[in-house]
Amino acid sequence: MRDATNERVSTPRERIRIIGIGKAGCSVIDRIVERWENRLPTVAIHTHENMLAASTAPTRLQIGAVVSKGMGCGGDPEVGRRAAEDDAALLGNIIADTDIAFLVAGLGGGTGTGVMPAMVRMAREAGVLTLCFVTTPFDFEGDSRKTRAERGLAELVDLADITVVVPNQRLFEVTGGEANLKDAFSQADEALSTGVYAIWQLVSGHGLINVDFADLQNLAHNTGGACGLAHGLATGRQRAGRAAAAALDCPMLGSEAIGQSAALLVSVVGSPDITLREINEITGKVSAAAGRGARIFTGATIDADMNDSVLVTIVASRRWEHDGAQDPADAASVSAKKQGRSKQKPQATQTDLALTAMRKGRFKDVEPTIFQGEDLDVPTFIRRGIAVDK
Amino acid sequence: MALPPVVAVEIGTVKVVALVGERREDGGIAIIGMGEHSSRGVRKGEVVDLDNAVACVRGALRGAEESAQVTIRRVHVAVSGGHIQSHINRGSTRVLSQEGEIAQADIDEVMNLARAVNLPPDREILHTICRHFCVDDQQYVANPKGLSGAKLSLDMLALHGMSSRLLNTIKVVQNVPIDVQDVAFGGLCAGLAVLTPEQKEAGALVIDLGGGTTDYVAYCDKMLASAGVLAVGGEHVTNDISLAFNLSLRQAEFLKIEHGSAVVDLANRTKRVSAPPEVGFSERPVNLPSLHTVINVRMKEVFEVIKSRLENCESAGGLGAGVVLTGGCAKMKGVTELAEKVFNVPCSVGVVRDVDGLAAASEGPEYAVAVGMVRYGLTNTQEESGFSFSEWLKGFFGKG
Repeated sequence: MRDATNERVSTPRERIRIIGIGKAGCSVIDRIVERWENRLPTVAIHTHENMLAASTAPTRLQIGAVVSKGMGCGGDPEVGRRAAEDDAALLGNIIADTDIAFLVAGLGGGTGTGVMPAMVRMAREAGVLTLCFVTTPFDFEGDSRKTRAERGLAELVDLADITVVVPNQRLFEVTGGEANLKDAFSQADEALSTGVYAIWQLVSGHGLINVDFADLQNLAHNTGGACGLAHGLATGRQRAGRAAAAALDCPMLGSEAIGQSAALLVSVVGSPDITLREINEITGKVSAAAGRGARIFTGATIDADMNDSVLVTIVASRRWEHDGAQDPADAASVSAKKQGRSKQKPQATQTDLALTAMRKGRFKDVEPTIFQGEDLDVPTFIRRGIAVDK
Repeated sequence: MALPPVVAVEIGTVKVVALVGERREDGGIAIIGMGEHSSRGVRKGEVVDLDNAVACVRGALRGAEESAQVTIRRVHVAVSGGHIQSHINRGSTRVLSQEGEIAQADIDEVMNLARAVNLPPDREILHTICRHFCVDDQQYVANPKGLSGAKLSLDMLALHGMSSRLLNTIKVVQNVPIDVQDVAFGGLCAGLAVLTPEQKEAGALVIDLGGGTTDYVAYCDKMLASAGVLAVGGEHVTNDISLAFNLSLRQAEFLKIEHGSAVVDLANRTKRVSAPPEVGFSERPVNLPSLHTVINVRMKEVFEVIKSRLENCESAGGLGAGVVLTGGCAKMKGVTELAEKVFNVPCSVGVVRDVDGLAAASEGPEYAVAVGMVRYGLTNTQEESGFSFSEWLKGFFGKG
């Protein structure tokens, strides 16, 4: 891996795009633009004309003007999907000449949930490494929104190289519902924008210790399921230790989840005066919190704008090469997909596959093979709702 | 040769295989003849069209007769199908002999009790396999004869299937017309063909990835711990591909064999492959990772179903010797890698052991069932009645 780093000197830097989709996606992009002043190559995509116009992203793209009439998707992922199909060429331009695409959205609505999988598929087809950063809704947002988000997430987990999830409900649980609504959403945006920034720093920044494209690919290849995200920021004395502790105690993930993770990607961003001892302290703390045998990828970068502070960001994956170590509480949606397969299954097929959902081909006339309520003669990819590029 | 050659027939969903084998001086097996015919009239390991199936079996047997220069009158038939199940039946008896020393009569009595499996009237016992004896509360007694105790129990693994379906398979052979000497479960045969006694002792799972069915047998402490069939096989993979990309079954089969992989190859994300055009189906390039995804989710599901069935079955212990794959699909790229991920133990493609003769039969994992059937037949050939328990006992205790 270090060889790859040396090679990187001669090769041009990875081309990266950070793409926010839908309302939540755009709002994260706005936050990134505001905080890091256009240093990150951001794009905002929305089906809602006015909301998009309000975005501060340097590149804005309205899609689905025909299907949504510029009024958004009305919470219907199917409209989002059609919008993405209609404007596939425009979306294609966005990811053209890109090596890594960061896709950001809130799941549960129409645009994010509908457009994101289509976009990921397109990106993968073009050979782009895809990192999805998504939020899942609060419980109070209603069951239908939750179901849509779960379905969308299941699809993304299968499609994207890495899927990082910030479960909003967890924020609610941690604050005991005391935080006001605006703060709660803002905290989720904060988590996503920090996560995107931290990984972006890793792959594009001036690394002290590099985690590069090859490492990301390695992670993408070996991890599965949804990853958790945590971050901690500290300034002044003992900043390294406090930032690491804050990240490990981050309400989005919790130290317990970190202990159960099979792989951790740790990004340390510091002001130029960060010392090796500090980085050492952070990695020490993370390793101590991580379970035995967990793989830890640490990268440290410098940002002149950090003003004496240190930011520690952790992406935690419960699985490594499908070794099955899963955290039941945190992987709620993913494990629901795995364990409650039979329960969730009837709705799991995608709408655009509805016509073919019951197609069994050559097995239509024979006695079905039923296992836990599923007809195994129906192709697995149809039952799992995995859309296949033809 | 002291024993006459044994003819094994496997009526698969994709092809019918007939092997003629005889016992070598050193106890191994020599395959002296082989016939193969593509299969029609069989779906998911079960006969759906008698006439077609009969013609295919006839073709395979003719090939075997020609290559072995023998006339075939009786055959051993390997059966499979989703209807085949296993469960453990325990028989217990009080030791009646003098001074509580277990005698042969007690063993015979407990065997009869354990074999008396309560089955619905439409099901037939295929095999009853002795797992282990218990003397009083001492578990895992290999041979209780001469031991002292008040109570003797025996755990018997019973493999059973639907009488009518088993009969239909037998009927195909009888309509050839050829006599059926014995019937055995295909998965068991695959295990007999590829596992060494050491593997059985350490614990091993054999999965026969056939065309129409996936048969599995799990060994633990030398004993058969669990066995069963999942009526999903390679044809499902082909069917999935054909439905996913709107291809003919033949094109799908071509893609599966030429470009298929059970794990998604991230290195070739943009590569496209295509199958030759056919009437009504144009040559359509298919995205390689998509193809692999379709195969991956199917194969992974098959392994996961088997894994969950083994977990439900309390007798399944550790798989120290890992997973051994046989059957046509075992040749697919990445399939051992996928099985390793799912079962979390080493996985390999089965190689038939102690067999020589025809190169094809002794090398390809797809012939493991037929070769195992020859071995089964040679072991049991003295006993004409089939399903013989004493032979099984000899097979499991004698050879280990």
